[in-house]
Amino acid sequence: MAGGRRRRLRVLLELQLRLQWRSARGRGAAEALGASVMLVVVGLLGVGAGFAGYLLTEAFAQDPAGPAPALWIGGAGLLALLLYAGLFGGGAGSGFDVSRLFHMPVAAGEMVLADAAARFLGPWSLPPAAFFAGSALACAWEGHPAFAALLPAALVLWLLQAHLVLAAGDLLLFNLRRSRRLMEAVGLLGTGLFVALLFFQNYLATRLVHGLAFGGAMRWLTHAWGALGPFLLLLPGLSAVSWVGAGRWAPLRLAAALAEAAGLLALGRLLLVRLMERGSAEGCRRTREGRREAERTFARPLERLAIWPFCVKDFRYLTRDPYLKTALMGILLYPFLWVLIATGPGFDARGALLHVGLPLVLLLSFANLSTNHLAVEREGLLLLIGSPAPRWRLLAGKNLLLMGLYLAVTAAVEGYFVWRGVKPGSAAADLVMAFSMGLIYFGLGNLLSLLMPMPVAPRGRRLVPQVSGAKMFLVIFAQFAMLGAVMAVDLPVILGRVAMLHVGSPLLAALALPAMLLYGALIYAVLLAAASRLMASREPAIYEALVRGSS
Amino acid sequence: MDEAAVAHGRGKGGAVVRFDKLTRTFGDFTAVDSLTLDVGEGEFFGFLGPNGAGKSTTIKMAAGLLKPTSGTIRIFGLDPYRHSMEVKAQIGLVPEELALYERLTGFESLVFAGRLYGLDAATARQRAVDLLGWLGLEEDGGKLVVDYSTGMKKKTALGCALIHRPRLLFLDEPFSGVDPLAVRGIKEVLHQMTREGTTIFFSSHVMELVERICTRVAILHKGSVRAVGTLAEMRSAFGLAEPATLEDIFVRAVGEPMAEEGAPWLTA
Repeated sequence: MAGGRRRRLRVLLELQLRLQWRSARGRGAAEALGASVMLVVVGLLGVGAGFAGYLLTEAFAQDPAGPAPALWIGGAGLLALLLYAGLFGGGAGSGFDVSRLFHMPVAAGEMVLADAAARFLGPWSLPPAAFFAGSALACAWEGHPAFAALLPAALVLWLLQAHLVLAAGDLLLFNLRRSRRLMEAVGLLGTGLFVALLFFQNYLATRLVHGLAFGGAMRWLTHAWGALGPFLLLLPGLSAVSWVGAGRWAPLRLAAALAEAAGLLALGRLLLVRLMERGSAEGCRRTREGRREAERTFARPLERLAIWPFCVKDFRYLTRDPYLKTALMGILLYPFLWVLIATGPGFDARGALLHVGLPLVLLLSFANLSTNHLAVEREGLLLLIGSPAPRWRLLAGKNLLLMGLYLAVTAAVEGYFVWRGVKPGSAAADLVMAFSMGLIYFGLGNLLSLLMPMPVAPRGRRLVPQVSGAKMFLVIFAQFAMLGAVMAVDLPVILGRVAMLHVGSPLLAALALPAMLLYGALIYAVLLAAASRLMASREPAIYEALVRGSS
Repeated sequence: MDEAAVAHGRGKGGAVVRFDKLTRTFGDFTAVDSLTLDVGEGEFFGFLGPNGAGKSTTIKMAAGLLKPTSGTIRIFGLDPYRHSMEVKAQIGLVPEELALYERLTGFESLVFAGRLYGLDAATARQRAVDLLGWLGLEEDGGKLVVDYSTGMKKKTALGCALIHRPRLLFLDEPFSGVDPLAVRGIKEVLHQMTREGTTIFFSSHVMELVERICTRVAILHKGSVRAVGTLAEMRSAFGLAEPATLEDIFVRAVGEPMAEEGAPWLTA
């Protein structure tokens, strides 16, 4: 029996590792080379980020007015993960649908163990490992070899916790599939909880590193809380720093972390058993007639708009498709992160970064939906390109929805800044600039979607690109180039906004704001016309790239 | 095969679909090899072939979704690439991998398809209601497509292909997973449509079905046409007598039954 279990575990592990590494491995020599180059780049980035993060922590810990050190580390970790998530596409939700194994003679505990082990050995472990290695190097460099030696253990624990959290989270979501509404509610609640945790832990970690005194009970709480760091997933640096600083509290932290890991493993097994007992069929849901009628009444005047059906379809999909909803939640999370960064110690809330940086940062969060939007159509693509609808309508419908979302999120952040003392007129001018930048970004995004379409497939809770590392390298490069192009084309608008900030004349504002809008609209119209023509000529190539013709 | 319909077998008008030396390769693999074929107006044309024969690739090329490597296609006399929009406006397509948005309801899918094909909102809604009733989905029109069975998805895809009343319909395995009652109802309507001039290009593996409903059939193997004509014509071409079925002709044309000795432990 034990031999059989070992063999099954090995097979499960092999299967999962193969699934996790396949997209990175590529097929041809060029693809394998590209993937290898990216592995090295990500590894070096991670090491560099960890090294710099540690040194910055040390430096800014002496200067209470400086930026919160944990944010620097978190930001560096985020950057590495951003590149990495695009590269391998796997990211946090790389588990696979375990329900495929339910008819096989495999025990629930074996599945959970194999899943956690495969995640541990999977590509997603590389950036945090590189990050920890960088931190350990810096730690030794600064003359703390004992602390440096602690870091590998901290890494293993962090990875173990992180992957068990992910495995349990995936299983929880699978369990909730029977009730889609419940799953959605839990998803939203989870997002809210994540934001709250981020605020709370960042606050505590900042205080901790700044060396403010706490009472004994509070210090105990801080360390117990720090041990649960992997719940924050995106901030491996925090965990490293808090381990190094743990001192005599390290045993407590270790015990808390191990207890958490054991608890998660048991929870995962329990969830899987429940799932196997109940089956994984998705529950049926009927759109309520009353709601549909209300939608119709509201939408009837808008139905005359040629692009309205496409906009509505995309909106429905964005709010119903679990994979797109993950992207939507990422977008909704961005403003909170931005507010967190912009209101950290030492950050000038009225600085230029706030005015120009906010739209750029927000636009980055739309990358998946706006620069590869035909692939996101998935099974519906054929219906779309098989129809005779004018192509500009399809593209403009998508852009309209994203623009609405983008402006709503931008307005929410600007509203927060107004609450914090920024003048309403200034916030309105920022919104106009953001609108113009959005027009150009979405216009260029249409072109990128048509020129470099990447097939995507669901993995875990995300849609991930199914291309080689080499192709992904090109796409990342193109996206950065596109961002540069947005900045370049939008230079008149940015300069106009900067001039308004410096001169402060109402007359200048009255002239500049309409000019900004007109400029953005004109550029967008040109880009949309170009994309529409390009789409008509490239559809067979796009279909082939995204769906692959099969007989 | 419907011998009565064979009377107007090659169509009432000119060729609606015309392939001339159509070839499509994927790297070293030739999926469609110099395919030449005409399908006339009002024909219920069967397109048969084993897995990997090139049926779906041919249909995708005809619908303007894949570009041929060489050769020409004419749909209503038009090149589906140069006159993409004109051709797409006149055809309906039920692909093998169903082109449905799974997170729309059945009703929303049909309305969206109608709007894509240029119907105004009120007409699209009315036709969607009619189609749901005709396809036996009126009770399920409010459910998401992801919750549908395979047969219900097929029916919805068929509804999406029909909502703009196309003149030419490409159906790629449209009845797999659909219950016999529904198949019967759909077949009757499709026949009625052919009588009114709609051409149907029907791809399937199910010999009995093709034999019963199609006026003419082409058998495709490894990308090229091995036989084409009415049942009687093909019997004659292969030297088979009257009781020979389409399956007999198919086996003769393709000539590669599954090897029985491949897995002897299965029957040991």
